[in-house]
This record gives sequence, structure tokens and C-alpha cells, in this order.
Amino acid sequence: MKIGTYLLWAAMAVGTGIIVLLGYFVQIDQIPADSLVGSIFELRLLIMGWAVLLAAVALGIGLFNLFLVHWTKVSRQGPGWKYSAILIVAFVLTLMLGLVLGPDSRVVLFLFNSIQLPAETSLMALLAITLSLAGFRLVAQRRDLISLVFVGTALLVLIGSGPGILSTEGLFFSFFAGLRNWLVEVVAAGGARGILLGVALGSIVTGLRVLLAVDRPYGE
Amino acid sequence: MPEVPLGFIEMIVAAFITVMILSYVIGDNVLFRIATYLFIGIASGFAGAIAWENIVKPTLVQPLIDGGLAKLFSPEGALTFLIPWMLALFMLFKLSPRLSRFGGFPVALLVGVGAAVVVGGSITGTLVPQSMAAAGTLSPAIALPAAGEPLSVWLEGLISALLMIIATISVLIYFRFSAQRDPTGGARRSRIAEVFAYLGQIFIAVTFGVMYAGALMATIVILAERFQFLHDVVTRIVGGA
Repeated sequence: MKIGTYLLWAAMAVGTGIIVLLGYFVQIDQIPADSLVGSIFELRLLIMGWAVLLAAVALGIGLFNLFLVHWTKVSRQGPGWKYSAILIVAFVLTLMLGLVLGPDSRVVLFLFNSIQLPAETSLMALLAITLSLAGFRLVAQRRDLISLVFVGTALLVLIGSGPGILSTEGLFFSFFAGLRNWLVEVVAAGGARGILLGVALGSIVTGLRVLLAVDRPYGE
Repeated sequence: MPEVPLGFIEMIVAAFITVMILSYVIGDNVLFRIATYLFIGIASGFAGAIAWENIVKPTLVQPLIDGGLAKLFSPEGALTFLIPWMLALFMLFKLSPRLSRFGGFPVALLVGVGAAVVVGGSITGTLVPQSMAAAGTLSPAIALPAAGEPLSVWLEGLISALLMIIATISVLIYFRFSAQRDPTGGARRSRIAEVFAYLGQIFIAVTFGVMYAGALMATIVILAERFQFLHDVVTRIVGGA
């Protein structure tokens, strides 16, 4: 029973994965003429639709879990339960309003514009301070060549991006602006291309291991 | 009593939230925590409402309202309605520890599709275009001087192109995908590969340095915008506008 279930899951993952992957590279107009689905491309779209639905259901399960975790914290009055209570009230209120009135309603948009948007923007703004602190800490704690290259490049790009640190007129600025452009367009572009290719190769290998059922993250 | 416009209340609440979040500068505090928990709650509720309105309702509920149960017994309905319902129900088994193994079936579909999208997207979106761009860096138009082109300009372009190629290759060598293991468990590589890998590390440091500076500049702009917003709110309240 257990082996049968596992084989079924593996077949499901491999089968749907291959159909979706074929859709990227093969365009066959008709499979059998009397088929319900006209082509691999259409079948791929159908399976992708199921996957999108399952992702939405998985999101729902995740939200339910979030609710349960904080509900347990509030009911046991554990450390920080008051914050959990705020989270539960905000979550339930927004979800209920969104389900009843729709996410485009004026009330939900009020919550979005007055709380979510400024909170997101302010958290991004905080990054300016935390990033600067992280840069200083790196210089203070790790003084090897790689760290110095990292911080030196960042400083050169900041100086060359002006205005602010230097006046945008004069030979001094144009030298740093030229150096910044060269660093960004040549050295960093080459490095970024290598990183992108490396990430792509790693993703392909990981994806193929799943498609060949070598890795089975859906359970044994 | 004059009616307070909704936009004004929205602005005041947004200003409070901004101050509460920015108060983190002086350290972790109650105001920051309240704002972040409020933010997580509202963002989660909003995400749930969006998922319901745009995906779950049109796929699982609306067809039932429009076509009734008869839709279930049509061949088309089985594919677009019955199977999604079954998959969603099986997925809900994940909520129960006792029945969660039955939820593996839809998870397998999700994983299979996800893996295929990652492989297909990586090949068509990154691997092929970036390889073509890397190969094009040393095309004859760049490698050979054009008619009437000054030698210094051609040389500058050629050196830049070579540097880009060296950067790409050395970074790829640094990301070693296969290497023999030495007795200590470390990777065994040739001396040339070691040199190129170290060079790759330096190019990665330069790339991350550029990205760091870009992120820092962008976030400084956002921080300035937040202060400008607070300034505008205070001006509006004081000015009574």
C-alpha cells in the first residue's frame, strides 16, 4: 500500500512535470483527434491552472496555520501574546472584510493604503540604516581582501553616482562617474552573468532531480 | 460638526504607522512590534482575500453557482471543475496530522509543475539568453577593429569584452558543480582552477558591492520620501489645510 501510494505520487510529479516542461519546447497541434484536450500546450495550461489553484489552497492552509499558532499563544498567554492578539484581530478583520466586500472595496483599500503600504515602505526605508550598519560592521570585523573589494566597490559606486558626496561638475567627479560606469557595465555585468548562469544551472539540476524522481520532496 | 475626509484619516494613520516603524532606529520597542504584527495580520488577510477572490472562487465556487451540479457530469466539467475540487480537498488533508499523507498527492502535482516551471524558465529565461549574450560579447564586430575606428577605442572595447568573459567564466568556476574529494572532505581542484575560483570570488565581491550600493541608494531615496511624507503631514495639520 505504502509503496503503491509512493509510486502514484512520484508518477504524478514526473508526469505532470514532463507535460509542463514539454509545453516549453514542443508545440504539437493535435494529439489524438478525439482527445478531450487538443494539444500538449492546452494540457499544460490546464495542469498549470490546477497548480495555481493548489498554490492558493496551500496559501489558505498556511494562513490557517498562522492563525492557529497565534491563537494558541493568546489562549496560553505565552510571551508576547498581546502582539499575537493584535495580529489575529487584524488578520480576521481584513480577511472577513475582503471576503464579504471584496479586496477592491473602499474599506479594504483603506486598510491597505493606511497600514500595509506605509508599513512596507517604512520597512524598506529602515533598510537604508541596517544596510549602512552592516557595511560598517563588515569593515570592522572582516578585513580580508574580498571584504575590502566589496566595500571599496560600493564606495566607488556611491561616490560616482552623485550628487551629494561630490559636486557633479569637474574632472574629479567625471573620473569617478566613468569608473562607476565601467565597474557597473563591465566588471559587475560579467560577474552578474556568471552568478545568473550558476543559479540557472543549479536550478536546472535541482528541478531535473525532482522530475526524475531522484528527490521526492512530496513525501515517501 | 464638520465631516473629516477619509483621505485625511488615511494620511494620519499612515503617518503613525511610519513613525512606529521608523522608531526601530532607537532599538526594538513596543511601537515597532505593534506596527509589524498589525502589518503581518493585514497583509495575511489581504493575501487570503485576493487568493479567494481571484483563484478559489472562480475555479471552485462560481461554476457551481452558474452551472449547477450538472456541470460535474460533463467531460469538460470533470477536467475544469471536478478534478480541481478533488485536488483541493486532498490538499486539505494536510491540516490533519493523521491524514496528512493523503495530501501528498496534490503536493506531488504542485512539486512536479513547480520543478518543470523552474527548469523550463531557467533554460529559456536565463541559460540560453545569457549564454548567447556572453558569446556575443566577443563577436567579430567587437573583436575586430571597424574601418576608421581609433585603435584606443577598439582596444578599450576588446579589453572590456575580455574582462567580462573572464568574470563570467571565473564566477562559474567558483560555483564548482563537480569536484573530486580529498581525504579531508574538501574539494580537490587543479592549481589553475583554484586561481580562477579565487578570481571569481573577487568578481562576485565587485558584483555584490555594486548591488549593495544600488540597494543603499534606493533605500535612502525611500527613507527621504518617508521623511518628506511626515513633513507634509505635519505641515498640513499645523497649516490646517
